[in-house]
Amino acid sequence: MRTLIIDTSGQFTTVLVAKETNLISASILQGRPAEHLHEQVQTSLSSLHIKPSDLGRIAVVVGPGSWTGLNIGVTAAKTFAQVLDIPLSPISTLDALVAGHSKPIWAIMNAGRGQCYYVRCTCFTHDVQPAMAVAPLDTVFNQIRTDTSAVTVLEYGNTFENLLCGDHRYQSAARLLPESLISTMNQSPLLEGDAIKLLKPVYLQPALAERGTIS
Amino acid sequence: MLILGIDTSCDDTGAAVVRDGHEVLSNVIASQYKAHDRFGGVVPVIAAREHTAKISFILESALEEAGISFTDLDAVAVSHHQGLLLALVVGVSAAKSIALACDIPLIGIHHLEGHIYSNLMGRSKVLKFPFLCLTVAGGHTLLLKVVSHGTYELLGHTRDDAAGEVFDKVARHLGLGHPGGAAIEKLAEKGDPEAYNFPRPLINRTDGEFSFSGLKTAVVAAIDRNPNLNKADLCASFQQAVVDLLVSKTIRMAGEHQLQQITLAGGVALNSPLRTALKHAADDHGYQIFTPCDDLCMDNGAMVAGAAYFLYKERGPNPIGIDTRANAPLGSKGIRYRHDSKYR
Repeated sequence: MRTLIIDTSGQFTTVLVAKETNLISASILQGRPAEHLHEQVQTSLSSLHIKPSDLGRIAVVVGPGSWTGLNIGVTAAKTFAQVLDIPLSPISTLDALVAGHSKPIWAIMNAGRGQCYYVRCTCFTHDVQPAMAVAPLDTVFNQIRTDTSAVTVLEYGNTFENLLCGDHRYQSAARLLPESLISTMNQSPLLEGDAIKLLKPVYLQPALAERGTIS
Repeated sequence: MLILGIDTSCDDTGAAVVRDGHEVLSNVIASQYKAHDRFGGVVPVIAAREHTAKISFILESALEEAGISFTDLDAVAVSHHQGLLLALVVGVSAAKSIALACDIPLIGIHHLEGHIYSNLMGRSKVLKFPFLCLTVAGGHTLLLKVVSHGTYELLGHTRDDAAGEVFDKVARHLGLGHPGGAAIEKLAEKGDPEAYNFPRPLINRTDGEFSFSGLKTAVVAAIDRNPNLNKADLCASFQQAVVDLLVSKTIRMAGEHQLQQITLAGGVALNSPLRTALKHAADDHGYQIFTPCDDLCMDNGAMVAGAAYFLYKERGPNPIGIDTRANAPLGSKGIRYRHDSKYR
């Protein structure tokens, strides 16, 4: 079975095609998913000499991440699955980020306005992970600094590099790696029917207007 | 030719199936007014989130009502220019996926062309080029000479606020909620349109230019001076000022450019006093007036599919990498109806 994998959560637009668990095509471009995403899908399928109807599954990174990027990627993936009548697997950004890394590990990413998405993974499998959350930077960083058992602090992006400088455990990732996306996808649920139509990007935070900061 | 039209340019998620540019088989619109009501206007990020949540269901409903499936479609059309960028990209992403998955042409439509063509749907034998189009909504107020398919001449536009935007802002100041056009029209039915003598900016100028910000300021100032004023009188007087401005400029431009047929389009075209006043004025001068049915006035997918039918013949399909822009020049002549800084 061939799977089309879409990631528009960060600074790169990633389109992968996997056959079972093997990567057979990768297209990674920086930014502008609104223009690039479908061109990348078209080019990837053409280069493999396959049609969209040859796909057996769609997988998409649902966030957290770029608000607009996720809207574009999730809408594209939902519509592909709806039209082709095939299942859809949602992938969590932070699940894909920690895949393949030694545990325990903190996965973090900038949520803007002094906040941070975070998850602390202790297990080698994804099925018992704690839920991802969002909290003020100070709160999360204090927990990370006192958590001496964690072996890695991995950020999606690199905006916290200066804030966490001196912590030898700190690493940053500019994008989610193809092998991480494939391994995470294979542990994600298969959505079908109305569950696909109901899929939304992961917005852990309300919009600025909803938080009462503007009238 | 069966075309699926998608519009997510603002706060309505619209999808429709139209046959041969005329026969509307379905026209499904999911309004988001409840999500934006408490803010007194449309919040772009919330609009984008709502579109993403609803788009799959709206597409499904549009096809079900039309009694067809994705494989029956001959093309997919989408508003990709003019609107809220964060909202537009959602509809464009869905349309591109459909075009790729179904291997059918993708047709990008300027949102304003959707409004313009809402009058041609079902009327292409009686409405002849060139004709005058007054398209007036929350995001624009334009007077255009529609020369041929996809070719327009700009006869006038608003220098500041759009007429629909002023309706919304006055309604918000009166606490009437969002969107404000229908609320003001309803309240105005009980009021005296001559109770307040609000200004009619630029009404004596001989060109087609509009300005509504001074009128808005005058109305807001009147409310602030006397919070206990008669809201019905104020709404009626304000509405009359807008109608006077729109009608006088439209009739003047029709005469100057010798255009015998006038079309009215956009969300403000739903306003009954505007329709009536324009009809009376046109009758007095021997002009014909055309207005779309109510379902085609608000933002919707059917007008996009209708425009696509006619414009596809002229322009052909768009590439899958078609861009999305909040402001884009209109038509083959690249008409710019906003400040140059808006066109990046």
